[in-house]
Amino acid sequence: MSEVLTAILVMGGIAFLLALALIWSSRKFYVAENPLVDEIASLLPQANCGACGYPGCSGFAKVLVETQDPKMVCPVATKEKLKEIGRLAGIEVSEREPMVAALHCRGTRSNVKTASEYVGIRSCIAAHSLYSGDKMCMYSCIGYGDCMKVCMFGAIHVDDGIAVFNPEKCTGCGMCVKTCPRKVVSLVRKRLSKVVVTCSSRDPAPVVMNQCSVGCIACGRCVRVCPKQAITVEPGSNLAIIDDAKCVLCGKCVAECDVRNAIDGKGPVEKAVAFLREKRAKEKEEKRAAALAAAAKPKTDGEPS
Amino acid sequence: MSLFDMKTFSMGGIHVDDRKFTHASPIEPMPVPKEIVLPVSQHIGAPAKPLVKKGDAVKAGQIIAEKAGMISANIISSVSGTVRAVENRQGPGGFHLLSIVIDNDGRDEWIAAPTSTAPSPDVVAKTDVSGIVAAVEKAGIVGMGGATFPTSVKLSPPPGTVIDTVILNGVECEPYLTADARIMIEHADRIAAGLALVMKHFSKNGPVKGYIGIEANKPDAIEVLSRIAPTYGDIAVVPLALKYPQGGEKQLINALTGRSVPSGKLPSTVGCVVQNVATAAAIYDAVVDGRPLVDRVVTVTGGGVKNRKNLLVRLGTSFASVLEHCGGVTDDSAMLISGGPMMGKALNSATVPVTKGVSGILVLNEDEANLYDEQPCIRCGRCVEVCPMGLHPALLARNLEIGDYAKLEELGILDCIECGSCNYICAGHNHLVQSIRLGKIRVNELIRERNKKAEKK
Amino acid sequence: MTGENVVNIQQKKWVVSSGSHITHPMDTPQIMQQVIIALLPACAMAVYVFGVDALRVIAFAVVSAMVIEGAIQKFLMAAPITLSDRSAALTGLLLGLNLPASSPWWMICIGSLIAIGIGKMAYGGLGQNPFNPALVGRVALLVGFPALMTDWSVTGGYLGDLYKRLAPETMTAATPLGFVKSYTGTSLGADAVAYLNSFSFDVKSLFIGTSPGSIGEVSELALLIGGLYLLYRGIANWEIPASYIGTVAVIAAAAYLANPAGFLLPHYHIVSGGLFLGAFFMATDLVTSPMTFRGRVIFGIGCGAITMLIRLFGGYPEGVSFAILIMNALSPLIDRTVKPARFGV
Repeated sequence: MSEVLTAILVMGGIAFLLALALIWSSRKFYVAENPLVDEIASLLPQANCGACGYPGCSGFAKVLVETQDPKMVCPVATKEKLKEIGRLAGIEVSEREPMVAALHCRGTRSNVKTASEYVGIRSCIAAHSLYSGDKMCMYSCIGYGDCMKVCMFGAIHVDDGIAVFNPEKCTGCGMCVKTCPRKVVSLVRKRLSKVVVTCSSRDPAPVVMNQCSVGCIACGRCVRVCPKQAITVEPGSNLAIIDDAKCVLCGKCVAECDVRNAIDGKGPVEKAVAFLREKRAKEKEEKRAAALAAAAKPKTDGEPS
Repeated sequence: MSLFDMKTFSMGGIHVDDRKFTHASPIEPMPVPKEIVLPVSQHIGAPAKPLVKKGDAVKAGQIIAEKAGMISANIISSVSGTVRAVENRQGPGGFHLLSIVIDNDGRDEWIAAPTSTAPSPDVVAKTDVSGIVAAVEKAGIVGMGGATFPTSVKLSPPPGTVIDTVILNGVECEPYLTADARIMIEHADRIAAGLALVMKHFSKNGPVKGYIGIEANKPDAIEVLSRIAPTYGDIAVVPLALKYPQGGEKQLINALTGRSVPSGKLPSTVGCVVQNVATAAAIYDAVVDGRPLVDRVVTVTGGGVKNRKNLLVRLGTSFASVLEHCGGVTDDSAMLISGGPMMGKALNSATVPVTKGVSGILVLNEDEANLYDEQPCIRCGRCVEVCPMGLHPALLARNLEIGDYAKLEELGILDCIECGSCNYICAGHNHLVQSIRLGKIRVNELIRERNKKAEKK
Repeated sequence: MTGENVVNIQQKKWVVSSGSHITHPMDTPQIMQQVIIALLPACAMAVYVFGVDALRVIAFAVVSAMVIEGAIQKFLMAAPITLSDRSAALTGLLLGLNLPASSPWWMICIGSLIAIGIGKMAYGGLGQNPFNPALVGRVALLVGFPALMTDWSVTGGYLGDLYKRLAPETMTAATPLGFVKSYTGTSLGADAVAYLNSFSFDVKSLFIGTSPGSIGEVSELALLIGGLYLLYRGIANWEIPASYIGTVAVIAAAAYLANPAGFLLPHYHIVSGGLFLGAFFMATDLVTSPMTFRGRVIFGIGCGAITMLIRLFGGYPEGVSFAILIMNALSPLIDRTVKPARFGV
């Protein structure tokens, strides 16, 4: 019995001494931190995505409190949170419109031909710095997922050799845009619908048609139907580009590009596109019927038919 | 002299099977094709500016694009004919490269016919080398061992630098390639004369010693040059032990003179200038005969080529035409490489043209090529043992993986000469050179950021 | 030399990769294979000395190691099965050679489970483990089943016949080191040492291998042949066996000279126990030893020193396994301190 007691006393005594040592060292080595930093840090999204350019959310908070620079912005935090952070830090924070990432390529393994076999590190920047990639189009999305690895919000995955973006999860932080070595990802305004040209190829039409079944050939049909001149084809660029600031998401260009399908519309605009295409199909059918009818009608001026 | 007491560099290195199948094949001229494609960038430095446009008639030897900037070189037309276009064509990286496309009229008319002086010590003594830099620049000569550094810049080291040693690289340590070997055997006099001219150019600041380093697997080249070169001046022909990368600039200087080029600095810092033997011959041609750089010797070899040869090819000839001339490629061929198997560039298409730095067209078949998937690093340490720059490739790859770019700089990643010894010996078939190249990109980004921040302050 | 048919160059799909486009044929599976081949003489001696039992132990060890690695990779890690790199087979073989001939099959399987499961796969698989997996398995068994692991009784082979011919009570079936350690500290300690020291001719049988011990460690001759084979093949790092055995020799000689009555003759220490097996095949494990020449020499010296410390003054008769494991733990530290000299710096 006395052995048990001795053991308990000895172990308890050691534990007590160690606890005293811990208390002393936590007091001696205490680092005084501005409690404001922690408060601001807790208001941030905690994603540690790095889009702001600082090491994590606590890094951003620390520098914000130190420098009080109104130009510092967290691209991911909501407007209300940003206002609160500004109030706490005592500065007017800059606002930024909500954005989402859009991929300007639809060159999946099924759509674009392969011209070589790549043996090497399975990373987009590794392949890109070596050569133009195993897809025939040298502007395409490489598809090894560097963007996926850097997205802290799980909004990107790779399917059939191309990156796929989920606008629901995307916060518009912009890390994927910075990471992509081909620059085929850009940020567009977060609106109900998304209209994106899904091609980045600067090659002329015959080359594009040989490489990819869904690439833009810069025919210019979309330019003619746009009511706001938001979509343009610069001479010599061989590519249609949408100016996101002017685009009103009417869907006319999407409907017009029905051969190459190089413009993608997602969201409520899909209904408009379907309607426009149906309307055109009907008009075509009516014209055809009228032409046939005109050909079948007999001549009325007495000439033998 | 046995292999054991031959000179070589002291750190690292590997023994590779040299596979010099074409060593005994004499250089054959290749018929010039109808289409010649000359990229405006065949050298290190700024691309040249085109001087011609579509429809212009050009003559062989004419400067069709001029050097733009201090580190740059002229582009010379290798045929006479008409410019079909100045447009983007596929470069060796698969990306676009602005190129001048010429329709060869087959008449081989020159803008200024070059003379044909037989080299001799007398000719060298009579030649005035005060205009050597201008002549070399006009002729568009760049390093022909593969590095393509503009020779006129190399012959003009920073003021105050004293060059006391000129070394010719006749090592050709890459397996399969025999272009330099054949040039040494067949044109030893032009090489020796070229070396003598360069030595004369540098001797205005003091006595200059010349070396020609040749690996021991070329006894015929050693014999010929040992006879001829010393007659041109204080030149020593030194046989070197077979070890890759003996032909690396820093390793060659170390093997021949015992000097070590400090990290991050150029050979001129230790008083040395290194040139490839083919470049030396081209320098002679340009200075004495006024012949610009319009062709080069290319070794077409590898298990995937029907007929292996050493060919004299006009610049701008496509790889495809050369390979067709050699009987074509076989069905088990896997890789098309410009250069040698250790440091050469793998191509994704044979439509690219032969340019100034293409020393070999190597078609490796499935057995010869390294087509393995990566396996885990087993920390065998062989990469550390073989690195000629004393680096730790496995550690560099690991730090790149975890993103510690500052550590990469500390470990000396920028010293890497990308020789591929580590990649060759790796038991796990890791893509070490690719990792190191990526690491260098990241470290250079880091250095740029740091300099930008320092400037702001 | 050249392939058969010529193909259309324009339609050819080339392989594009970076770095050197040729490679050395001696890669990981080849290295493992050569090491297995180098162990065959030791396996042959094992079967000769211990009979069918040795084969049983080796077979169970190799098969269980491979099955366990395959199962872990497929079901726990959802990773591709890499049994073809021969590393599981090699670990199993080394584990088996470290066990006594009398090992029950279930103990061997537990050993494999610990060796492969904890010693290797828990760290992420090949190349990631800090400790030699076979030794992790062996030490776990030694500590968990001490009686079974030191049961040197043999029923088959050369030794088995020998024991049957002599009266069973006269042969303690102990190893020389175990024999000495069991009397250390008692009044008979000096006698035990003297007894063995006088049998200097016994060194021959210890060297060839016709003496008790675990099935792989007994024949130093066979292991030396294996080691020389690896040297000939160019995949041995000779610096570890040389520095390891050299250190053991030096310390054993110093101890003997200091106190001839209290310590065994130096050559006993070299040919007894698992020293040769450890020095040539366990300490030289590529994954767990340092990556530089100087680092490996330090590693070997450290192993030798700790082995002798345990043998002479520690509680166990044999210190090789523990010494190697301790030095494995220090390998990363050695790698960090011993960096290769840089060119031009």
